[in-house]
Amino acid sequence: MGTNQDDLLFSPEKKLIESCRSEITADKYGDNILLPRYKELLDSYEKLLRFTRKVTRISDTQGNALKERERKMKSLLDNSNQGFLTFGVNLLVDEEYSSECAAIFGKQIKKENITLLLSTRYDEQQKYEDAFNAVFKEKDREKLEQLPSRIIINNRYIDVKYKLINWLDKEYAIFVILTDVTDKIKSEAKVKYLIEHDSLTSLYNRSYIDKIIPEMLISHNLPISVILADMNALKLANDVFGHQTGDRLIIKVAEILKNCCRKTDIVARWGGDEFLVILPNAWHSQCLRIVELINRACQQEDQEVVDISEVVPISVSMGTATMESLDLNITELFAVAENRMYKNKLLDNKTVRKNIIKKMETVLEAKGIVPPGHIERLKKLSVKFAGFLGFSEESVETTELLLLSSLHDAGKVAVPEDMLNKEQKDLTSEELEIMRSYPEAGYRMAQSIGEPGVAEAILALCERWDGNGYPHGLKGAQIPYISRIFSVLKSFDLMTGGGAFESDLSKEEALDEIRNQSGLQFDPGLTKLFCDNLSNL
Amino acid sequence: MEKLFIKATKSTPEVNLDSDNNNLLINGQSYPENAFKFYEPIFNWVNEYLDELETGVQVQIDFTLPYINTSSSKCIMMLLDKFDDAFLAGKNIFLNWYCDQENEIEFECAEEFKEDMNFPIEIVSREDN
Repeated sequence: MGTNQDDLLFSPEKKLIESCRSEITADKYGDNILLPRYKELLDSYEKLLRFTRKVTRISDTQGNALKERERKMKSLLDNSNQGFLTFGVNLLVDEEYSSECAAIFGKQIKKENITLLLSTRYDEQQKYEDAFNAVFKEKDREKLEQLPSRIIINNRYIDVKYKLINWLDKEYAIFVILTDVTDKIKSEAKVKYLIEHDSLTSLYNRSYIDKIIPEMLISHNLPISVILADMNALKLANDVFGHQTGDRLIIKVAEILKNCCRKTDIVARWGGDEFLVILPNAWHSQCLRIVELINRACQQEDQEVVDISEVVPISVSMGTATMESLDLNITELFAVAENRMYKNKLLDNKTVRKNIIKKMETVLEAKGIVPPGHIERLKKLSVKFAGFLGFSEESVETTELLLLSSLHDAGKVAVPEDMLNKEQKDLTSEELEIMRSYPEAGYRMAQSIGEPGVAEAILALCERWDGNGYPHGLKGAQIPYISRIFSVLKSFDLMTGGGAFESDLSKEEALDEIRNQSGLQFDPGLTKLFCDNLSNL
Repeated sequence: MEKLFIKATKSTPEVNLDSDNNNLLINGQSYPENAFKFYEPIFNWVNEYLDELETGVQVQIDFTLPYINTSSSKCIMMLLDKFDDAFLAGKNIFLNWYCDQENEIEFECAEEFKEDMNFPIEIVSREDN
């Protein structure tokens, strides 16, 4: 403690004592009868001064400590993110409250009436007032527990706790703890949403269905129908155009299902490409009408192809089942719908495959990836040359050559359009690499529609007899026979172009070019057979 | 001589003056509304005890006073004066003043009380709060 300050504070008293002491020592009033009392008074004054100085120092030290402690306590309360306030029997908020209170109420609340702060409705304010008055009067803490524990203040959710506290021996106050739980409620709702919904489609997910099924199985909901829907050709979209395209298709199907179903129906993503719709109070005929709506919506959506990547059709195979009483087990109901769905899928597969091929041909020509009429001419040429080679029209080889005619450039739909329009010499090395990956994309596409033989042939279409082709640099007979045949046919048609343009080569010129590439690009044996017999084809 | 025991309250310390064992204890915060009224019986008891105390008997005093207000400080100093006078008169008196080891302020205040006293006062660190 500052002794210097202490000396200064009590310097007049100290000087007075020193002066009086020196007078006594000097024996100036030695014969005065009051001297003993004067000495006694001086001793007592000196003692009192000593005490006063000591008590002042102690008091200052303790006062500072108390202030420091108060500051720390206030800081603790202010940083707790909770509102703390007290009010007494007059229901006015006391002077000291934590800063969070001002944030919650949007203003300073000293001497504000607590009932007006807790509610803006008169009837509720009256209830609070009656409750608080009763608590102060009867010291009945239970009445506080009956007050609402969560209220809305300034559009925020606030949890409220009340405690009756005994300030001093006789004085009571109600201590209020306010916690803003808005963010917590929002994040809980978000977590609940994420737990119950599929993040890609925002439909309900399987775990929600598992949870909701027991609640749905009540007589009030009968008859209950279900639709199980399985997407067709999703693998094609994912394998050829990437998962973003696949995801886009899934989202579109989800939208169609939501739009076609009633508000009371529960639409869920049941698995990767499977959806489930639960239709309470729906007879089987109603359920079938919704299935029809879904099919029509898919067809409608399918016609609006604006992008190459949309060649994959939007198509779902569906199975339905209806329970009219609670005797049927839900698992059995799903099993019925699932069996019907798989049965329909087998029927749909042929149509879907046919649609994909047809759509692919249209898109390849419409986008200028292949010249006009190229596919049709190749089909005719393929059948004729296959026949010349001894293959019947129904043979695997002829069928594969026909499919190759349709799909040989299908992989190019996965190449960005601007790259397709460039001359090979203008492509950067990265672009060339992408460009040269189209046989692989074509391979994946043929695989995904269940044509492994055609897939292998597509993959080898850019290989050369001399081994300088790509992607694997196969040489001679390593190249599949069908690929070698088709390579000659394709090149011939590309050079002659059906004779539609002046730039097209004549048949003779094209044959010369093909002969020149014999043993280099083309199989010499097949080249000779083709060139020698073209006039007979 | 009868012992004096006063139970602690929110604003007054526990007082346990045990003449049988010659152990005088004051423990707790002290900020009564009327300090002199609270300490008066203690003064009276201590006066009588010191009067009767035989020379050579060891008296152990234990103070734990985390917070005392100004009036209580005056009363504590009056008590210390009584013990000091007795010590100067030849009585065997020893005081342990317990302070929270985390609280420097308590130590500072104890030092202030100790100053000017002749009888032995030891300022001892205590672990509890």
